[in-house]
Amino acid sequence: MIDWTTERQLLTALVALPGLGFFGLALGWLLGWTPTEKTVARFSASVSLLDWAMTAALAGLMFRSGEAQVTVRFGDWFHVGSYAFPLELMVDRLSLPLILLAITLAGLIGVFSRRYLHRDRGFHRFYVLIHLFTFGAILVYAAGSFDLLIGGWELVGITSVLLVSFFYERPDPVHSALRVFAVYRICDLGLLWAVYLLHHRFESSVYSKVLAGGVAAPAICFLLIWAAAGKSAQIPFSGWLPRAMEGPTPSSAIFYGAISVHLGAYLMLRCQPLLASSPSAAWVLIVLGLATAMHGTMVGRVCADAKTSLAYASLVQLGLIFAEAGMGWNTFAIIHIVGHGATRTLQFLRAPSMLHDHHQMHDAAGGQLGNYGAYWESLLPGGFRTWLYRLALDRGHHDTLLDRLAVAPSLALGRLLGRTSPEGPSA
Amino acid sequence: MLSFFEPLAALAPLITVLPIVGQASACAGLQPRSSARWIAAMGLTLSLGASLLSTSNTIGHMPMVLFAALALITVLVLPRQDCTPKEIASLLLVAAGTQTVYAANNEWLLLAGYLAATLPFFDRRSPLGSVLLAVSGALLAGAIESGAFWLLAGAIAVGKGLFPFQSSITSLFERKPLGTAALLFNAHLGAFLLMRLAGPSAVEWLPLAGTVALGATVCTALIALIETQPRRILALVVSSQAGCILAGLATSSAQSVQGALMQWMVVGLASTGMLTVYRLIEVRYGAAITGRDFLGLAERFPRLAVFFAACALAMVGLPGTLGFLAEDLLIHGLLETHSYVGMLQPLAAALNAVTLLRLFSTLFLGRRVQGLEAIPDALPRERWPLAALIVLLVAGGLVPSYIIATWPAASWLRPPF
Repeated sequence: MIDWTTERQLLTALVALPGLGFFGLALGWLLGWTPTEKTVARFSASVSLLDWAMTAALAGLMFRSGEAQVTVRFGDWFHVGSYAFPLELMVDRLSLPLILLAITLAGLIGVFSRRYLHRDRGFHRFYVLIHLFTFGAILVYAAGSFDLLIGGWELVGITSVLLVSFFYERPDPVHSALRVFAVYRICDLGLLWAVYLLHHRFESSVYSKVLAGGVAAPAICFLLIWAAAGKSAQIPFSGWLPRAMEGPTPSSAIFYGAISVHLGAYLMLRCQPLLASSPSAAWVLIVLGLATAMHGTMVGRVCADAKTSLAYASLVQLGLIFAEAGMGWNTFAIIHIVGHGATRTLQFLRAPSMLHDHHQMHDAAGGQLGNYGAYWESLLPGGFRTWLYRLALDRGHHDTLLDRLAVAPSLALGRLLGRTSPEGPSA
Repeated sequence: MLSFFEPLAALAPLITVLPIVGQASACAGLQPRSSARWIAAMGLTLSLGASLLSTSNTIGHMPMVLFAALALITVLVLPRQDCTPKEIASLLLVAAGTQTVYAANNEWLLLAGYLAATLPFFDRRSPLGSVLLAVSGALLAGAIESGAFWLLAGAIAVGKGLFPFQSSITSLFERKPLGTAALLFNAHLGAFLLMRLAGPSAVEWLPLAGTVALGATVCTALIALIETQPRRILALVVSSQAGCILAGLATSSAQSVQGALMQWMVVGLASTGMLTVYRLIEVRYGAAITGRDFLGLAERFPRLAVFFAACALAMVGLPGTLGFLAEDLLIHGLLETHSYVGMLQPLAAALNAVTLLRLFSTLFLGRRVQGLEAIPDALPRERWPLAALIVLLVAGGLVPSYIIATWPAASWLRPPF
């Protein structure tokens, strides 16, 4: 029996509310309801406002009582044999700021998009997906077990893909969405296998049992890093991030500037006790993060469009956050995530007006705004600079390498196996 | 008091058979063609009601309920031009035969039901013909001992279209009426027969059969990855996902058996949704769909696109649907019993997810479609049954304990005969 304190009620309600908003909008439309833009926007704003108020109230109550964490145990969702799926929500000092950030930004994006997507044919679809995304993101942050975290994790992934292909009349967004989805699904395998191994080792996936001083095998940590690297676009999976910019700017802002790309970093912070027990995994995380940051800054300098430049700028910060997580600087990493998420969202939302902003700044500086950012490159030898330039233009050859080493062999194997049928493959 | 309703379980196939008589007269020109769908729907509703009212907790009870629901949804959503008396009669014959198999309490009745269900698809040139013969031979051999076990297992692999027999399922989906073919596929008669008839000596072979099935699911998923023809893609993906049912049932782990039973429901509900939506699109679009170019049909058929996407995502384990829980249980169960080989199941699901998204993109996204302005999106007759499918998939995902209680793995862990 659950002891329903106010904190627990608030936690349950703030997780459920965006999910109910999604079901209301989606099911109503499927059955023939076609609300006006005004109705949809007002509905979304109300949901966001209410959710924000509940989160703020929860934060206030936790601050006043000095509680470090609030947990709601609903028991097992189901159990079969020795296996049970624990249903547990939990907020602590790691997840609460991130929940607040997610809800705040989702609400602001909702308000911003009312004008940005005015009369767009996908207006209703956008809001439906934003609700689903918010639900998924909050579920990741508020999950009290790895099993529940997977649920939110995959919801965020599928929403991201559907928004990348938002402008589906053009083939490019559709191809990009497929690429993003493929990377997500392959990297999610790491999370699935890791969670199975955690179950096997600790006979549970609840944080309180797994993370309470548990020593994990390095294999588990590497699988978790694999999953986090996919979600946070670390190398060699970073190629999906610029492709994801095909979606509408508000969704790019919240997904790839603020919330979705930081989920991998959150996973690493959440699994800090496991990483601490495996120095090799922590080192891999640091090297991966720093390499991604270097890659991001290099490629970002040769990008020709605003959104892609911002995507690579995000990548640099994400790489640094990964390195911070590897070094165990948790508080610093949380501040970094919140600060970066808020700043980058603003930059993405201003991206369509970037030239206008630049001219304004130029005028404000009295026409003195010169070139910047070209100093350090000039210190490098000329030949090396040219090589780096080529490497940066092809984005580190990561996509080409993935295509050659993973995609092409899989397709070749599929063709070979397809020859076993009399008619052969149609492709 | 409830035992009063138990005989209704056995009556279900009979209730389904009744409309066949109506169809026979329709074939003879005694009834108008437009009434075929509604006569069949009436019979199938009675069948569903009888299955639901039955309190029988035999191994075939839940399959009966699920199959009656699938048959009813298929009949309601079937495009008008597919509702010929001949096709409806075939569909009802499959339904009647399948329900007889589920309700049977001896081998002879099983054989009779199996023959009736597969009769509309009997073709000497098709591999399904040999399946029929193999299963009949295995059944006639009496109890399934090791020799007959492998005969039946091979027949199931052909029937399910598992690698290297994928052509049986692709040709079934390409050449036969899609609704009826999907219904026969979703009966999972092979798996049902195997679990009912496997004797003590055959049980020791089940883990090996499960391992082979797991390998076959990945191979089938890889073949689907390079296919372009939509019907073939659907056949291969559905076959690959159904392979996990066999792999799960073939273990001695309660988790994977329960996962397999949930996967049975998911594959049945989701594939019925996807295949019926695809058939509706085929009929509305008119021209042949090669799958090589984008069709951009979401603009004209947004609701059909959403139904298709929801079913596809549920099939590959979208959180919040029954598919997510089925995949979760299968992963844990299969990894426990097959360790490294068990890792293939999520890999197959991931590959199938990519293939289904590619198919969805080809059908519904990619360009602005011209010339279909006058063709309607999902009609109410199509919308409500498809919405019911989605609700079932979501409700099953939210309240899995009910399914686990009504269709427990325990009843499938030991052969009942």
